[in-house]
Amino acid sequence: MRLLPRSLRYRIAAAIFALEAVMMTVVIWQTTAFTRDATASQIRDMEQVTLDLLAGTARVALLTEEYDRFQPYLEHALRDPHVVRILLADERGRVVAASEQSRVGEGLPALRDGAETYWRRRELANETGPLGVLAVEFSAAPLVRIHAQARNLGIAIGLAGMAVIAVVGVGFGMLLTRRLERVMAAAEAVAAGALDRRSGVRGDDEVGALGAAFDAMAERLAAERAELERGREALERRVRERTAELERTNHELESFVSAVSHDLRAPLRAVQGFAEALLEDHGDRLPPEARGYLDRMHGAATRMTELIEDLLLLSRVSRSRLERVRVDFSRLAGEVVQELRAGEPDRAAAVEIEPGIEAHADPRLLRIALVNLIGNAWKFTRGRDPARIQVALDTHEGEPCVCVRDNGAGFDPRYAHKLFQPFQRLHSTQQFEGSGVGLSTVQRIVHMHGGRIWAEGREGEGATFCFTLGPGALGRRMRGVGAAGGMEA
Amino acid sequence: MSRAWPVAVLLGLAAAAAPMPGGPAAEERQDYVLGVFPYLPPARLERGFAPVARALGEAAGVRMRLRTRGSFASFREALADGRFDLVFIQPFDYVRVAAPAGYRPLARWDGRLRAVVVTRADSALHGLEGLRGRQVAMPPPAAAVSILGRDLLAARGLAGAVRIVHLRNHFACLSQVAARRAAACVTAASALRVYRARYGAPLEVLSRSEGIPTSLYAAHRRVPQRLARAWQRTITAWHRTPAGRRLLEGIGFRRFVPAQDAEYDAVRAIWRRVQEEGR
Repeated sequence: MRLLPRSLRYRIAAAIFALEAVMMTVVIWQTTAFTRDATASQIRDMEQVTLDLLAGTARVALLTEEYDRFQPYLEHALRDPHVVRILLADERGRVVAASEQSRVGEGLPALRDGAETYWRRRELANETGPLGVLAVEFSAAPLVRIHAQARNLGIAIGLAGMAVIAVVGVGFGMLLTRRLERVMAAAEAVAAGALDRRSGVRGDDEVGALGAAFDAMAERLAAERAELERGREALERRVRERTAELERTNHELESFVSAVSHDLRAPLRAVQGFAEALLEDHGDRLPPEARGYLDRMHGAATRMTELIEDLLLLSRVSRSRLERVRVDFSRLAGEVVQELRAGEPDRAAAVEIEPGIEAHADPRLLRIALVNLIGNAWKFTRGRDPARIQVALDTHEGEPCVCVRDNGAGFDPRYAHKLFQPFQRLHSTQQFEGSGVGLSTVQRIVHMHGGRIWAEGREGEGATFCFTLGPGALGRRMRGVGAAGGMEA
Repeated sequence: MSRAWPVAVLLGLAAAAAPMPGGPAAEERQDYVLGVFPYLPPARLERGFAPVARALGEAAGVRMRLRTRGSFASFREALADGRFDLVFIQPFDYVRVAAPAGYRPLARWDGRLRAVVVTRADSALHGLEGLRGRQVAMPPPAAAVSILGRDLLAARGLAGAVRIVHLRNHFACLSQVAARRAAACVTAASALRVYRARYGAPLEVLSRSEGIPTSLYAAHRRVPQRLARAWQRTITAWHRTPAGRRLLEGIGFRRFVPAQDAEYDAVRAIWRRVQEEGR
């Protein structure tokens, strides 16, 4: 439990108070001791004077044996409250004068100090021997009272002094920390982002120097921040300009590709159409060599048409506007597989699709991506018996992803980086048909969704293509929830 | 006769009970008292006579205590009661009280006691005649010098012509003159010496009375003769030794000589004269 706040002012006050308390205690102790000693000394002196005065008259009384002459002095001495009892005994120890007349004639009693009284004894003698004994009982009450008064006064003064010191200490602490608090408040404001905030604390002392240094630092920080802001704005402006320029260029490029593809498609159809017509109408009359050339021309035109179609698809995908909705991924994948089976009814392939996968994606683009990925798996497992294709939800580095696995031809992993580049092919068209644009289209779709795609595989051992679609876009449909329900990652 | 025998028996018992000088009972005592007549304040007397009492005790092989009284009257009462074994008294007390009380003279100061009339050195007085109508201070009336002083004044025809005031002791008397509260003080030469030595007062002697045997040591008749003789020998030998001279110096005397009762007949004569003057 903390008794005092951690504030500097209270620490200063506490330190001053503690120091003052120690000093005050020492001073009061010393003063009280000095007062006590001085009072005791004075009382001893008074005792001595009283004893001397009484002893003088007692000596005369003993010499003259006229003890009644001692009585007035005795009674006078008793007026002093410090004197309690007086006894004068002759040389034989017989009391000859006393403050209590009843004691006259008795033997001198044993002089025992009381709780608050004490005896002083003076032997009276001359060259002839002892004359007698003077005994005076003094009261210690005055000494005790004076001592108590001195102690109480000392304590009262000490407490008052300590209270004043405590107030002064807190005040001094506040005086000192008030300016420090201004510096602290300015520092907190600057730390929170208000770089225009200044402490305004000045002075010749350390706090003033601290305030000035802090303000200079804040000034410099604000200037550098402004400079950085200007740089950032310039950079952003440049990025925007470059992006716009890049977009414009891309757009122009895509427009160019689209235009070229459109423009190329018509003559190609003509070449293809006339080649088909020539084969159908005059094929039996052509020599085999010429018909072979014509078949190859027709095939080339067909591949070029497919290539142009793929390029147009990539171009359309790139210019598409992304519209995410909740998609039954498993069902979509199943529909793609059904289409593939319909295209090749005699093909025996084991396709396994994990049920319940849901995606938050553009369904049209997602279908294009699945057609390419599952189509590739369908294509590269041709000749495998049994051919196996698996579509499943997986996790990569803590992020849900969908993986399409097959046991097809696979690829050389050294060239995996080329897989997603347009027109890059790791197999010949004689082995596997294709334009080399499909995976580029898939990558474009995944990137448009904020995801990423990667491939793993070995030559002859199949391939695995996995992709994500951005945060929270892939998951399993929650149990008991319909298609429009929620997902679990 | 039948009536007289009980009285005779009582007297006989009283005589048997009374201490006899030099008797066996007195010999057995080891504690004696020296009484000094209060011609000086008690503290001053103690300073001078305590060493004297000790010396006398040591000389006799007994303990000697010093006592005095606060006034001449009370001293004379104690003297008449025989309260002291050895006394140092002035001559008039001896003839009036001590001798009748059984004290016998041992030694007296080797000189004559005179009353000296003292006045301030700067006084305009040149003789006793100048005191007429003035105030004259004296020690208590029973003091020897007071008696001698009154005798002196009467002899000069000044009886009743001066205002006599009696003080407590010689020092008080001299202080009256020093303080100009009295024109003159009648005192003893020894008291004047001590007073001058102590206070350095500018006083001078205006006149002196005739001399009489001085103050004396006297022993009570109950004191064994052996002790009385030892004290007498001691007292009269002080002036021969340094220690003795210091004792004498302490009490203001130079020498003591053996004293005889007959020497004090002159004192008795003065006393009778003064008594007659008083009537």
